[in-house]
Amino acid sequence: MDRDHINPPQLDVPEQAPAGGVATDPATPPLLEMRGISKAFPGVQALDDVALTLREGQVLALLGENGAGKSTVIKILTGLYQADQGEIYLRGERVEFAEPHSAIAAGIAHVPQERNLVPDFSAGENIMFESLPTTRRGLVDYHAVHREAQQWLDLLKAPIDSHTPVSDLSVAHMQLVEIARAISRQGRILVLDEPTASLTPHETDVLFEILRRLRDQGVGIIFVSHKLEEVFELCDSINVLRDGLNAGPQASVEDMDSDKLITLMVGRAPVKQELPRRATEPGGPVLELRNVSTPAGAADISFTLHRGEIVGLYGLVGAGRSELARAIIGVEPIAAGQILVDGEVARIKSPKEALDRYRIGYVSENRKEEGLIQMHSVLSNVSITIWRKLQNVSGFINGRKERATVQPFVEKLDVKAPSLTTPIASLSGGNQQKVSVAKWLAAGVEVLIVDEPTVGIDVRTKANIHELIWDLVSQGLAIILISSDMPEIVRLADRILVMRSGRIMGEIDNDHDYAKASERILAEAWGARGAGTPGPVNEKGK
Amino acid sequence: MTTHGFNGRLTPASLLRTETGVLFLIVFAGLTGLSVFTEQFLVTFNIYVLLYNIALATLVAYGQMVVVATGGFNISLGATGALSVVFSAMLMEWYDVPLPVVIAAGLGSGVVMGWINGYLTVKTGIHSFIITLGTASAYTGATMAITNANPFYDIYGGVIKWGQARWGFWPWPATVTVIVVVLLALLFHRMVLGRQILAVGGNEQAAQLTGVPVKRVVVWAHMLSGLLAAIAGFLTMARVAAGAPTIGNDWLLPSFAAIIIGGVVLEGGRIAILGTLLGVTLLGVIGNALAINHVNPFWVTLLQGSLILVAVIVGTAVRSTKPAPLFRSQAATPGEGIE
Repeated sequence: MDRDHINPPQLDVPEQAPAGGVATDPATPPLLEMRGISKAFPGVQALDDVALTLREGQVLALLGENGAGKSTVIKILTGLYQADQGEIYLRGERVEFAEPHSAIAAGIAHVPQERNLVPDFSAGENIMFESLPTTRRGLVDYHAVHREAQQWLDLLKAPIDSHTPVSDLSVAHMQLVEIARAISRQGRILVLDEPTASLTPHETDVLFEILRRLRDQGVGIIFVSHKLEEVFELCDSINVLRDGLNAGPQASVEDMDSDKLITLMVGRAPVKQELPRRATEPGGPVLELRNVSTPAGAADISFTLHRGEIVGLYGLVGAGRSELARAIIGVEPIAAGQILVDGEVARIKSPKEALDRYRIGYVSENRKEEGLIQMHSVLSNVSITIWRKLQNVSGFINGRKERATVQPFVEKLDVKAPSLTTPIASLSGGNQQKVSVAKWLAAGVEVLIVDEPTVGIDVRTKANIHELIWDLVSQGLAIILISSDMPEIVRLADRILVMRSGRIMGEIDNDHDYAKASERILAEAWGARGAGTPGPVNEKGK
Repeated sequence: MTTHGFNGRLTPASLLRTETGVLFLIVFAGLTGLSVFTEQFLVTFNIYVLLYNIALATLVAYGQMVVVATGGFNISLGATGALSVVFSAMLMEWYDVPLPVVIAAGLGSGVVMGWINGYLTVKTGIHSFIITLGTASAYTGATMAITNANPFYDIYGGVIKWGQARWGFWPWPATVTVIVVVLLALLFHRMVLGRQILAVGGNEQAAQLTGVPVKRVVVWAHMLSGLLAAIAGFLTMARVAAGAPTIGNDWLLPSFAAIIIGGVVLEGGRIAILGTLLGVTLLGVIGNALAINHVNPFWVTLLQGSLILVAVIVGTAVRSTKPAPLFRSQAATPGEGIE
């Protein structure tokens, strides 16, 4: 773990990298080769005879639906799991990683999908964690820690002070710290699992630029993403997994297009991209915000939501959208302004009141932490909103009635679960998301605030969820869609409000023309004057 | 009635698939072994003592369980029991209050102490472990101040008589425990409050965002815990015929031991009504076996500690062999709080 801490960090690959070039000679053994990898968990064959090849200076996209086995491959590569069968070769040499430490020592750096930082430590300490420089007396040399960590952060053009505790950073900035840590290890292989999920387009561009530079220096990069645009922008080679198998031979990106990719991933032709026109026009107003400001940073927000309408709230992470949503349902206070429900002033003090009195529900962006009770069943996660309605005069809930009420919603939303008693934790992300929607439908809400509904959800399920949202508004529900996924918001929203630094910067009547809409959205989100620099972003996460 | 999701049919094989089932088999095997190998075990009086112990310890364990279900702890369980006992005994010895009032006041004081625990917990946002550690000390202080560390002996004859009453091997007061088991099962399976307690313990944030009044629910759970502690205290007082300030001193560890063995998740969200009863029974039977074989009672404490560790280790191992996010293999997944 010795590293020279005097030199400023540079994107140099320490050992054996071919100078300034990319090894293309097929005769030399590839940087990484995984052969015949199989892995079973009790009751499930997670991987079956999977192969993967990564060459020096190559960016390999590892794709597949949720549950296809991508994460398992990565966990085996990084030593978190051990394969039941199969071999891993680094430059032709057989290696075995019994634990993550040995994978790190072999030069494999990993940006995991789940954040892996110590919240109370500073950004710098987290970045330098594996090899904290010490003074001659053996104490941690914090000057050196922060000096070097800051240089890595600067390299990523991350506006983060190395001394800031990670718990004070926004989600996007935590992600940047995570990336800085991986890059600082200067490994020969860099594995990134959905690194851009919480990044702004600008931060993504900077990241890609750095990845390309690393690639040019011979680093091999494995890139997992659900965003196909990114794959085509960045990657050279594509490996698709489906149901724990290679869906086809690893292919060059030139031989692929997004239809082919989707077909490979889902095993059939892609679902039709266009949503049908809705029969009904938006009705009367249900929810109106008048000059609402919150202590958390939303300022002077005004808009009206109508029945059968989807209003999109687009903005970068930290633009204040989730905070606004939480203020509407009464989790966070409102400092100024008014909220009107059905034309009458509403003072919503708690989610209970939002639900019981005003029929407003909120599908959180954090399924795990805030959305569902993972250890409890599908049944009780849906019926939780209607327990009080289900009890009879003596105060008991009728179990049969409970099931009978929940079942139709589970069916209608096509939740794939073996039974109503299945714990949420064993469902896929997409199915969990459907359950979070189902509980609000069961409660009969009229307004649904949906916060980043498809983060970390694969292409097919994403399309399902979009259709679901579309159906709901067709039936008269009013939906506020919070999303930083531009294609999603352009596809679904009737109107798009662009938020920046807690304010609404502009409103766009959406005609679902992606090119036109995205340009306008970006112009508003970035500010008309500033090219490229995202506006001041609330530093504090939620 | 179990919390571990037997789906209908009860067969030996289905027993082995659930934690409660395995526990049941262990207890059953222990009882059979004791009956066969120890002459003094299947004696009416011994069974009576054993059942009485189990009945009291079950109430105490449930007192812990209802708070643990929300993700909290009640360290003041024993102190609550003691103060409520001393309070009722004081009313009898000093003021000659009618019995119904004594009972109401005794149980009511437990509820109030639980309310204080809950109120302080939700108002300060400090973990109930710390809050109840503090109130435990305060309640014990009050107990000692009232009694000067001497028991009240002027317990009404009716109470003492009831405390000693038995029907063969069945102690009458144990009937209270049976009623509590049924009521708790109804509460957690069929009532909004019970479900909400589990929801808060399972995921407080999600519960709140779904309209569960989290703070109120936590306070209710603590009040319930205080009530159960007071009931256990009152029964103990009736049994020993004294309002002793030392009642409850030895409740805390067994309360955790029983619920952990029973399969309650300490982080909250999952309870085990039957499992806890079996956990208490297991501890009771072991204690009884050692006692009738004249084993030094200190070894019992050692065994109890070891049992907790084994239960936690085994429980954790069982749960971690299950791949979390995969779709199949549901049959073996332990159920949740309320099935």
